[in-house]
This record gives sequence, C-alpha cells and structure tokens, in this order.
Amino acid sequence: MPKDALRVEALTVAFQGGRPVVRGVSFEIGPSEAFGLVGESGSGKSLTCRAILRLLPRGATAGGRVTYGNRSLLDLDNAAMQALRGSTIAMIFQDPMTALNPVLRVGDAIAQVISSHEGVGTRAARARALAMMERVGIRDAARRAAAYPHEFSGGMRQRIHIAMALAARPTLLLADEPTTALDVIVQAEILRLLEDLRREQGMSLLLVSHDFRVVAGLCDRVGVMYAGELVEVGPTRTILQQPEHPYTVGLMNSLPEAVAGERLRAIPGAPPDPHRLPRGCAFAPRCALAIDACGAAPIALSEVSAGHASRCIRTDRVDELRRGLAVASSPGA
Amino acid sequence: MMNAVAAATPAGIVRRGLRAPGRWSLRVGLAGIFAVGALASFAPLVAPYDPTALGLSAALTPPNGAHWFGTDQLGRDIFTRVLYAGRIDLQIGTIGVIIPLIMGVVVGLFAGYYAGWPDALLGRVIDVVTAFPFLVLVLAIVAMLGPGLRNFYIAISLVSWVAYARIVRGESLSVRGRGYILAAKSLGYSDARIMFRHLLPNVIVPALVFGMSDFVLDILAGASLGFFGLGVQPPTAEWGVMIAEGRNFIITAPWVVIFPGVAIIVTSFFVSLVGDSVSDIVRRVRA
Amino acid sequence: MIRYIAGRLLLILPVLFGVSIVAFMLIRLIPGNPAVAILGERATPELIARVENQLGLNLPFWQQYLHFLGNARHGDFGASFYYGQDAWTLTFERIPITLTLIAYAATIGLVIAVPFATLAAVRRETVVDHAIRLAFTATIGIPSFWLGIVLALLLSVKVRLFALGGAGAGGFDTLWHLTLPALTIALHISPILVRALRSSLIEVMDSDYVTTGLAMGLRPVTLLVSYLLRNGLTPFISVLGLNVGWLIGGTIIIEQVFGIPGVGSLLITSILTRDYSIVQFVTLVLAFLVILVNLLTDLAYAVLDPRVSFQ
Repeated sequence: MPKDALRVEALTVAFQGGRPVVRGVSFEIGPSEAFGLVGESGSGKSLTCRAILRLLPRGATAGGRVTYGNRSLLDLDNAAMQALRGSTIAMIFQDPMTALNPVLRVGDAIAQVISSHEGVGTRAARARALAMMERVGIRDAARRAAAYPHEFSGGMRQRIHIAMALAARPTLLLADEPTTALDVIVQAEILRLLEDLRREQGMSLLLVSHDFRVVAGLCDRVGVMYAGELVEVGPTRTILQQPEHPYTVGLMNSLPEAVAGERLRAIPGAPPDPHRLPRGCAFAPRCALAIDACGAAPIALSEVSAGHASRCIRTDRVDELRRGLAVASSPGA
Repeated sequence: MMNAVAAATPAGIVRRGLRAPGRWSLRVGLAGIFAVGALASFAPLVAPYDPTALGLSAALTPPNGAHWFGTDQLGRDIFTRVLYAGRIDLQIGTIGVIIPLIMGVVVGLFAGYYAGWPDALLGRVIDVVTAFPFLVLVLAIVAMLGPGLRNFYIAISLVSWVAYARIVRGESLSVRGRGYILAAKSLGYSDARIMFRHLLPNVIVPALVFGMSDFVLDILAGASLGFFGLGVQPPTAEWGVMIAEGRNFIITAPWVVIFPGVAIIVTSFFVSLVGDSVSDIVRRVRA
Repeated sequence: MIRYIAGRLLLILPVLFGVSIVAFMLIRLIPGNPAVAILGERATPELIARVENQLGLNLPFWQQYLHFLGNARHGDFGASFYYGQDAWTLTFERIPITLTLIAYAATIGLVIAVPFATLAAVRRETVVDHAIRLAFTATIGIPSFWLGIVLALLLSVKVRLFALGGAGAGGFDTLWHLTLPALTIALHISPILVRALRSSLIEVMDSDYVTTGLAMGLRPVTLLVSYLLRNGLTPFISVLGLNVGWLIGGTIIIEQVFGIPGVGSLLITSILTRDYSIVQFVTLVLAFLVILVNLLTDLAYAVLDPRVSFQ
C-alpha cells in the first residue's frame, strides 16, 4: 500500500457498555485524494473521523483496523501517536470559538506545533508560524501574531486553526465539519482555502459534513453514512448524477436550492436510536421503497458500478424515486 | 422539563440517591453518622463511667481493658467523656446549622423573590459580613458577649445566616422567572404561598447541601473556641475542651489529646462523605 | 490598569464602610456598660466617664459612628491595658510576622495541592483519584489546633526536626521556627485547594482547545503547561481569594498554639484579657486584609486571563 494512504477497515466505535454507534465502516483514501463523509447528526461520521487519530470522547472505544501507510494506528503507543498527530495526520474541528487556547497568542500557538515536531529553534518556528498565517490569508501577520484568539472573528479563528494543523506539513488532513459554525460566505472562503492548501501540499483530505454541497465541491469521492454505517460510497460525480440509495436521494433533495418554487423535502421520520436498531436495513422504516426483505436481515454493501457501492437491495427503483421526487418538487406539482 | 424541575427538590434527591448504584460513600457516611449519633445520644447507657467521676489514683493511665481510651489527669475515663462530649459537639453542629439555615433561607427567599431593592440590600449585607473571616467574627462576638455555649450560638447565628441567604437568593433569582412561578402568580396565589409552597422546595437543596459542610465548620469552630476556653466551659466535656485540658500532658499521656481529636476527625469525615455524595447527586440531577 | 484599580476601589468603598460599621458596633454588643467592661477592675466613676467620652457612648448612635470615624482618622482606635500600647502600633508591629506566616503557609499549601490535584484530575474517576479525594475529605475535619499540637509533638519533640515556639530571630531562623506552623496551616487549607484546582483542571481538560492541542500532537509538557495549567490556575486563583478567610482563621489558631507573636495571637490574647478595643481593631484590620486579598486576586485574574479587559 502506498505510504500516504489511509485505510479504514471495519471500524467500530462504542461507548462504555453501549451498542456501537459506528458499525463496521470501511473506506480508503489514497495519497492526494479528497474523500467526503456525509450524514446527518448521529450518523457517526464525526466519531469515525476522530477514531482515526484516537481522539474519541471519554468512555468511547474503537475497534477494527486503521492503517496509514504500513502503520496500524489503533495499536500505536501514546508517544508514537503524539508524534504522528499534527506532523503526519492533522485534524481541524468544528467550532472555531472554542478550538483555540484562549491564553496563548496565536503566533505562539502555531509555533508550538512546529517546535513539538521539528527540532527548529524558537525564531525559526515563529518565522514559519508567520508564514503560515500569511498563507491562510491573515493580513498583517507579524502584528496579528501577538494577538489572542478572542480578538479574531470566527472565520479568522478557523484560518488560524487551519494554520496550526498544517504548520508541521501533514500528509493527511481530517476536517470535522470545519465550516458548519461559519456563515455562508466565510464557508466558501474556508473551503477554497482548504482546496488550495491541499493542492499545494499534496495532502489527502477527509472532509466530514452534514451538508452535501460542501463535500460535493471539494471531494473526489464521497461516502454517505447513516446510523453508523456507510450506505453508499463512490465517486462524487457519479453519486451526484446517479445516487443508488434512497437515503442519499433524500439527503440531496432536502437541500434548499436557490430555485424559485421548489419546496424543501425533509426525510420523514428520525434517525434510529443506536440501542434499538432494526434488524435489517436501518433506513427501512423511513424509506419509500422499503419491502419486507429490507427489514429481514442486515444488508451488505454491494458494488453497483466501478468503485461505486450501495447498501440497498432496491437500487433498481432508486432512479424512479429520484425522478419522482424531482417531479414532485417542481412547480405546479 | 417538568421532571427535571421536580427532581431538584429534596424528595427528588432522596429518590435519586436511593436508586443510584454503588453509592458506597453515601451509605458509609450515613451509617457512620448514625453510629456516631447513636453512641452520643445513648451515652448514658453506653458509657461505662460517669464523665465527671474523679479517680485521681488512676490518673493518666494509658488505654487498657478497664479504660478503653485511658484516663485523663483527673482520673476521668476518656472514652466516657468522648461520648458525652459528642452530645455537645453534635448539638453544636446541629443547632449551628438549623438556626442560620432558617434565618438565611427566609431572607434569601424574600430577596430573591422580590428582587429589586431587598435584593440589592441583601447583596450589600452579604458583601460586608463575608469580608470578615468567619472565625474572627465569631470570636469577636463571643468576646463581647462573654464565653459560653449560648453566646456561641448567638455568634454563629449572626454570622452564618449570610451564607445560606446568599445561596437561596441566587437560586431564587434564577428560578423566579420560570413557568411554574409565573403560572402561580397568574392564578392569584399570595406571595407568601408562592414563596414557601412553590419556590422554596426548588431552591432549598443547595442550602441543605451547604448545611452539611457548615455542620463540620461549626463543630470545628465550637471545638476551637472550647480549646481556647471561650466556648463550652470545663468541666463539661467537649472535644475541644478535652484537647486543651490534655495539652500539658501530651508528651507523657498523648491519648488524652489524641482521642477527642480523632472523634472530631471521624465525625466530620462521615458528615463530609454524605455532603459530597449528595452534592454529586444534585449536580447530576441538574445536568 | 490604574483605571481598573481605581474602579474596583470605588466599588468596594461601600463594603469598607459597612465593615467599619460592623466593627464599630462590636463594642456596643457588650451587655451592660461597655466602658465598665473595658475598664474591668480599674473602673472608677471618673475613668468610666472618661472612657464613655472617648467612645462617645453618650451620643446618639449615628454620632457615635462619626466620632469613631473621627478618631480613626487620627489613628486612634483605643489602647490596650494589657500591653500598654495603642491599638494601631500594637497591631501593625505584629502584621509582618502574620503576613509572613500566611504567605509561607499558602506556598506550602500550593506545593501540596498542585501535584495531588493534577494527579487526581489526570487520573479522573480511577482509584488514585478517589483515594486522593477521600484523603483530603478526611483532612477537612482535622482541627487545626489539634494538628498543630500533634505535629509539634511528632516533629519537634520526638524528632528534633523543627524549632518550637516563637518566631525566631529573623531571617532563616524565623523561617525555621515558622515551618511547623506554616505546615499545619497548609494542611488545614489543602483540602479546599485540592478540590478547587482539581475541578478547575477537569473543566479545562474537557474543553475543546485541549482536544485541539492533543490533535496537533503537542509535546506532553507543552500541553500540560500551556494548555492545562495556564488555563486551570486562573479560576483557581479566584477560589483562593474567596477562601482567604479560612486561611486567616487557621492562622489565628496556629499562632496561638505555637506562641507566634502575630496578629492572630494578639486577637486571642485580647479576648482572654477582655481587651475590647484591641479585639475590635484587630477584627477590623483582618476584614480589610480579606478585602485587599480579594482585590489582588481580581487583579491577578485580570492580568492572567487576556479575555478580561481592564475596563
């Protein structure tokens, strides 16, 4: 396997004594590839992301296998993990208002990341921190490096957060809903920044979001998660044009598009309680295409076309569903 | 939401506490308090000797079969005196909590319910009284009034009520805008009825929790004053008094000082255990 | 920053007045004629009249208070029959030793509390954490006077480790004499320190920015110092300020037990010798000390936390 490839195999995450909230997730991210993970709250996408760097909340444990290159991440000891984080695999989080240490000047915070991983002197670390700040779009970096996080806006803080994550030049970036807490215009800027940086540094990217559009703009491939498992995975363009799972269709149709006359179509019902999952397909209770066979036994991911898999036995009818919803949501319907 | 609100009352806490699994500290604490309380209350029945009985021939004997805790310089049985002193010290803790609690809760309720100037006034009073270190103010008041248990209670009451008032006032202020209070007002209930029937049960729990640590504080204060001769007066047995009396003999007869001290430590420990457990439960209920 | 201090001083002015009123009222609590009580055995009709005038006891209440303030402006807070000195001199010549003892005790207290609190926080909910919390819960109930006596017995008499009694001759000798008392006071306040610091650290540990720090692969030392301690100590300082009363209370008792010539033993001695004016003045001084300490901790908080502006 290439050195900079991430492979997640049958990843599970469970809380103390509870049922797993991530149930056997598998995917791969090749070097320089961008992979998106989409799903609503509670689908397990954030936990999947965090499990890779073993940053799970208290009481949660991960099972399965996660390898980066030829190293098994779940088996590394703490020292090796610390060396890996930030320098090889980095992560950015959702809420810029609470993600930065309030008592550290931002320049120092970034410089600390560099000096934790590379044996450079203080001055060199600060110089690189300044360069990084400029690279993420903070003007007048030399002066602003002495400022504290609370003196910046949300968008700026997220840029600083990104600067910290990329300061030690990681080869994989995990982004857990990096734009969810930002307003729309800033969202677009941050996403563009991520894309530029990715190309520049040749990084691979795992982008987690509940918003399909965020993922669609940036990622080569995408995985859709529901109730702790992947229900569809494949190239972004293919899935956009030809989704093969009713949930994916529902997700895409619940996006408010700026087209006059179209109505928002929410998916009826609510995500299941991880302690009370249905026996078969977890989405069946809310699915317009569900038949008895759907609820009888767990459904496996099966390939629909090259590199495109779906966890649905009704893929033959999904197209109708998509068209039917499109018809139903057009004016006059 | 109503459930969460109802559960923060004393009844709700008790229900939660009894159901909570593995709350060994609560049970140990309660058992300990019960044991200490029983020993102290039934001291006349349990104690082998008369607490004031002198036995100068057997003065300062170390712990043995006849005298489990040894004897003091006047030949009095220390075990007996520790038990009898327990009655005084537990009384100090109890009365030292109850009186300020009632005073403080009532004042706090008024201030928190009406807000406005009563609350501002109470705030100032709290600021002023809490500027004095607790022990200093108690000592000063006892100094003026004269030593003795009764004056000690007066001093404690004058100083301690403030802590309870502050707690209840804070709680009342935050709760007074809640639905059930406004509903009661709109139903035309009298202010007094709302304060005592509706507001009180929901704000009193933190005050009761504080009462448990205050219990320990009061015993320590009472013992300290007893030690300096400003509280309970000898020959009445009180743990602090006993320690003071035994101080001169500590090198040759340390047991005279050790056992009363251990009694204070053990009693305070059990009360603190219960207090901490309850405070944990309360925190979880409110979360 | 000057503006900040000035602003805070303005806010506490009413409290200062309130405190002086309470102190002023103390003497008036004495049952019977305070002048008679103050004079004790020396009471003669003319001395009684003189003291009554001195204290303004014949004036209406509010005028008495003004009289009290007037005397205060001249530094006249009464005098001690026992020591033969005026209250101001008597008290303030003893302040240095008390402040030294308090500072010494606070330092030892921190030295004890910080490692245990950090350990308990980092190993949250494990046996280590429970053991530490249990041990310190038991410590709250140890009477300070008893602890002082026992420690003196063990560490000064049985094992001649520390000097006993008094404050020594200055410099290192004083520190040596004050070590046992300071240690006793430190143990007395340590449960509060451990509890406060532990919960403050836990709150920090659960915060998002610490997760960020972990995710960036920061060196453990950097994480501990710049992220955990730097953020955890600040709210802890406020708690320290709030509990300075407990610290002072312990100091008073220990000064008396160890015979240290400080303000605390002055208070106790004055109570025992019915030196009412001294009791009143020392009470006032100690309250002002508490207010001062709280002001300083507020200032420290503002300095340490960049989010607090000096407005």
